[in-house]
Amino acid sequence: MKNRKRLLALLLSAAMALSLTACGSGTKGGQSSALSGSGGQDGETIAKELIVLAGADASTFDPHFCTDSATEIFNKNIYNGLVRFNPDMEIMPDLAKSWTVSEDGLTWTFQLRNDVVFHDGSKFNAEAVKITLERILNPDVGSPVRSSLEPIVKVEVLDEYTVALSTEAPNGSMLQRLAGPAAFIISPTALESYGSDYATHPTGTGPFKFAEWKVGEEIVLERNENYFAGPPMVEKVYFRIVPEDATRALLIQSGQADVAMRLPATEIERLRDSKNIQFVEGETVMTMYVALNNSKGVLQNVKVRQAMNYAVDKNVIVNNILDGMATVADAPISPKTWGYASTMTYEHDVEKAKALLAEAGYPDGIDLELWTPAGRYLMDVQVAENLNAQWAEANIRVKIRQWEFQSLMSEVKKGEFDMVLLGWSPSTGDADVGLFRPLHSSQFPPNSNRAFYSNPQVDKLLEDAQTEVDMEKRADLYKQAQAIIMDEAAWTFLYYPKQALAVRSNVSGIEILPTEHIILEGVRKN
Amino acid sequence: MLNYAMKKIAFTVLVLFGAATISFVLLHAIPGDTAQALAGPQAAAADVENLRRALNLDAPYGEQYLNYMGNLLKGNLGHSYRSNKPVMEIVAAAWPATLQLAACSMLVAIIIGLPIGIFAAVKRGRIGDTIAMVVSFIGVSMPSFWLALLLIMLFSVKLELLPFYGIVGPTSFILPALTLGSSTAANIARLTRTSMLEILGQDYIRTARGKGLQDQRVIWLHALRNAAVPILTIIGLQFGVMLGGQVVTETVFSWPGVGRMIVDALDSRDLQIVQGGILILAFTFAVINLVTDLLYALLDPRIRY
Repeated sequence: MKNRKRLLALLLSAAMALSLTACGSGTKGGQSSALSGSGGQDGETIAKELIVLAGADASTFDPHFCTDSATEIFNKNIYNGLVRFNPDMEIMPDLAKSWTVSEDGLTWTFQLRNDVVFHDGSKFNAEAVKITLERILNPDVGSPVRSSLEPIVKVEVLDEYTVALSTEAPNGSMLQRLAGPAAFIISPTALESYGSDYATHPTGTGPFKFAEWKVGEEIVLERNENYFAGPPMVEKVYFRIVPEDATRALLIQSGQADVAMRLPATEIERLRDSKNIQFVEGETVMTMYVALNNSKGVLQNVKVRQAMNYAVDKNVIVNNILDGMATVADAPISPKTWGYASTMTYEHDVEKAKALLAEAGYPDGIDLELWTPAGRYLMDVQVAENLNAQWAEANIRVKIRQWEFQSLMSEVKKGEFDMVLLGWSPSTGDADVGLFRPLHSSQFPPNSNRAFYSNPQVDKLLEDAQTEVDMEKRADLYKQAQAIIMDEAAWTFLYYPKQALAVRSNVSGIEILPTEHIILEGVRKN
Repeated sequence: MLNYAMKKIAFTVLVLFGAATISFVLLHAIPGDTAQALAGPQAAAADVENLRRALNLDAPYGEQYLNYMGNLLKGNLGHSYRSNKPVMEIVAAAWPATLQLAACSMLVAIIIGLPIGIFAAVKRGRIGDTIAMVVSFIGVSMPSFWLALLLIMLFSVKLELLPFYGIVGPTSFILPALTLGSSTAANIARLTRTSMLEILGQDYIRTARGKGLQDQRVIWLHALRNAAVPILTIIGLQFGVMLGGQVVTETVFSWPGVGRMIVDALDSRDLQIVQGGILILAFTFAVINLVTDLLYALLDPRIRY
């Protein structure tokens, strides 16, 4: 008995000790205070660290397998492409100094910088471009972003710093395709030495080098001293993964972080009064819309689809639900997307909506179902509920069905739905991805034309625009296409979300792009 | 005892095999296509199919299952579809955080719950009992998300005493452990009260009191020990609940644990990670059950294996 007692006591104290050590151990995070060291350019000090709060963890650091904009933000600071976007979505030189296109529009020749080295010390040259692009284009590699570079049929090294890309037909969006995150150039030597483990040893040419990834916790990047555009002014960037919106807001408010990404409108509103926080705001290339199933039931009727648009006051959604963090959509693509042209709008008019329904043969209104993802887009369910209330006033009775996003995507493919709330964000910032993929009749699911919209005239305009290299003519083709799409009310056009980055007031020089990428190379911290 | 332990261990292996099989079947039955989820909603159909082939996701489910189980026997959990990192590495990084938090929370729950339960039983029917039970009722009912935010507002924002995200030191454990431990504390308190009341009415307690033993001695030594078996049972079970039910707490406190890892992976249909996470939780739970079972015998000499 006594022995057993002793054993029990021993066991219990061991358990206590174990849990206490458990409580005591833990990995150490970096300090949040800004410590400055000297040694920067022009006597400027280099900040020791920058803490950026991200809402989601990275998926992969292999840019050719990366499909989420959250991860593209990390990759954007590790890699460069041949060309890049500026905040106005204009094409700027990056690894290529200059470029020309042949008269027949089939060959693009790029002059490359000769002063660039990869993070592993190997030299950037035309061969690296060839190896990178051929890797993406090889179907066996299985890159999910392959089609964004698909028009390229041949990559030729002309000399050490000149590379030529050939296409079968002229392509009007070639530069935009190359500026996107799919075409980041990776180090051939790193690819060879790490093979299938490349994704955890990313090696680019960008302003920051990959240092460490603690899954679910943080991503650490460090300054690239050899960056060709001048090394950044911060030693290390810690991207901390803080999934809860409210927690991110509290952390930046209390000064435990320098930058907070992806805050919802409610938190932004609350933080606006803090004098230590400023916002870097901007528009995006994203469009939020309701895909009306053009191939099913009453929604086949154009008058019904127009009524669906007239019945909604988008300003109510933008102002009351999104607290102004969006602008009302007046075209299928946003003003930040190349090729945008506003041709008409559906002003809120309930009577007109009712009249159109009556003309279409539904004087007593219609019954429909609206599918919405829950938590995929900012305030998605609330937007769906508001749409429901607004449509009800025009006798459009809607039942809402909420979905987990991946299940929704699988189910939408079958085409058995009436309407679904979606967002479309052309990562190339160009009308080709902005319009062709979600609206051309060749792109029915499993591709992205989830409204099953089909109009031969629109198809022809979008096809012609793809091969038109005269930008003025191309813009005109897209304008005509958008006019028809708007008039035929392929979707219920809702809004273009805006983005905002909360930044402590001692931090400056951060750029945001309409593709929702964040550029840290010019960041300064006092 | 040794025999029993061996049998239990064999049973645990069987449970893990079952968990691997059931999770495989269920995960492949839920809607949502892994290749499509990985390629993203904007991917072209041809790209999705290329990716499916590259990841061998086009193989029949039976073949995928046999591959998976074959690798599992070799101790290989596979690679993450998204990051291509070994699942073992990702799970091994998240597991200690979950286990440590569960252990701390359980400690909090026992330290708070046990005395409240005993106190309520001793003061049965009096105002102290009522207060203790109302407090524990609130503890059970309070949504952990809300409690977490209240704790953060008070201890981190107002008083600036405690950290509230990630693991930056020992103090990081306090708020999440309080959040996670509070409802378990309430459960333990209620069960301790019931269990103690039953024992306190027994003849031998009256005898112990009759022979002049101090109240404290009677309660802590004679009564509590005999009330301990059901309490231990609920502690073991609650520990399992804590392991799997940390998701909300882990999210609010940016805790890099298994629960959040599973939910994140499920969002992107990174099924290898989900399965790895489920297996490690099943394993932990099985081990805790085993330990609980063995402890019964130590607490109650009447129990023999």
